[in-house]
Amino acid sequence: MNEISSKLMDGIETQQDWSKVLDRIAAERDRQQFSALYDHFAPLLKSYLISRGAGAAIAEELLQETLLQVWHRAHQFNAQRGNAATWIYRVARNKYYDYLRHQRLADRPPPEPELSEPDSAPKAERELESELDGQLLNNTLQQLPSRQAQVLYMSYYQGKSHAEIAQSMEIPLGSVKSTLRLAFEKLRSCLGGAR
Amino acid sequence: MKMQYHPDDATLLGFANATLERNFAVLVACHLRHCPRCRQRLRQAEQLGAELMQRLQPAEVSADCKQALFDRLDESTKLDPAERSATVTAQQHEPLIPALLQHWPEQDFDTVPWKRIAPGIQQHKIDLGSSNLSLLRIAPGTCMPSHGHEGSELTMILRGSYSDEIGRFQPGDVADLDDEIEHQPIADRDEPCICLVATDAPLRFNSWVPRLMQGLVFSFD
Ligand SMILES: [Zn+2]
Repeated sequence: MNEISSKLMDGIETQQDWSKVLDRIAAERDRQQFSALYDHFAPLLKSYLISRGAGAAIAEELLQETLLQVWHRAHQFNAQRGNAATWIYRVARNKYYDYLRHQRLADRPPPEPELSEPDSAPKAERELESELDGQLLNNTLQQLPSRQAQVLYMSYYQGKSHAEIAQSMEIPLGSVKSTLRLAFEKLRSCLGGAR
Repeated sequence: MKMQYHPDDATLLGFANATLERNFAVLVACHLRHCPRCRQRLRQAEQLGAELMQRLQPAEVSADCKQALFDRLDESTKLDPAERSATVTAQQHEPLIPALLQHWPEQDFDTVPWKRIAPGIQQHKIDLGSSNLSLLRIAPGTCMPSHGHEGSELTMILRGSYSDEIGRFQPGDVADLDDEIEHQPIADRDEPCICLVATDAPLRFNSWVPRLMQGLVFSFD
């Protein structure tokens, strides 16, 4: 057990095709589909937002904002350019950034959508993104050395900067970066043909 | 543009997680615009972020939350199209990359109000609010004293080139330095080197140039 695996759910969720659900929400304004999407994502988004530092009430407000945007902009989702969960995750991350900035707590901008979803990306490059081996990722996460799991946890879930991680782990900044780099390298290998 | 030096994967991952201060984020975005390799890594980092989110223990969400959301679906769809687009427009952000850097490969930097800060070195600070981003214009052949870094420093070349212990940096290349690296950049001889420099905000920046110039007798205003 490491910092990440202790947070993981047991087993793997059956993978629903959320891209199809989003398409139906866009095309038919289908509330039943949206309800299913809410039931899956709302508890995960809340968990994510709380781990990033939001209080429970703010987390619920922000998850509503996130899913409201998903409802209104479902037609902008393009399944060829990425998967639905990644799209929803980005919306939530950006909402939290907006909240922090508005509250003058931090100003750490996320990438603009055009950087994440460039039109010009070669088709082969786009296809790689959806090929993720979930079981392999779980195994890899569980086998990460404790320090790598810890820096990943602090960066992804807690939203700490490299300097903040260095401070809280009492290790040099360069070690934080090299540890993150190693962990990312391992996780990237779970994305089909990512090298 | 063929880049040889990219931001560290840890930096790209930090950008994906919205943990980079604005100055670093702007600089990395300027590089990403022109670097398919790094854009792919950024997307991978984001995809992993979504995977990790889906592996969290789901939190208990109050029953009211869903009802409140579904009530808002009704409200918003009642807005007429004009009102709705006004709402969307209001939510849009100003671009991450400031106007001066939007088209940096073609930008004319001669018209920038440069301030001389040391012999052979001019600076222009880009106002980003709380974090510091500077343009430096280094005269051909200028040699900087060897220096280390207390925190993080990102440098991206916009024009010309410089060389140091790590290599020769050309337009689009990023030097991603941390507190373990010492280097001594020398601007190449053929033309001035213009680079974009982001350092940890806010205190360390002010000491960057003096630290760079340590041991030299210059005054900085
Ligand atoms: Zn790159």
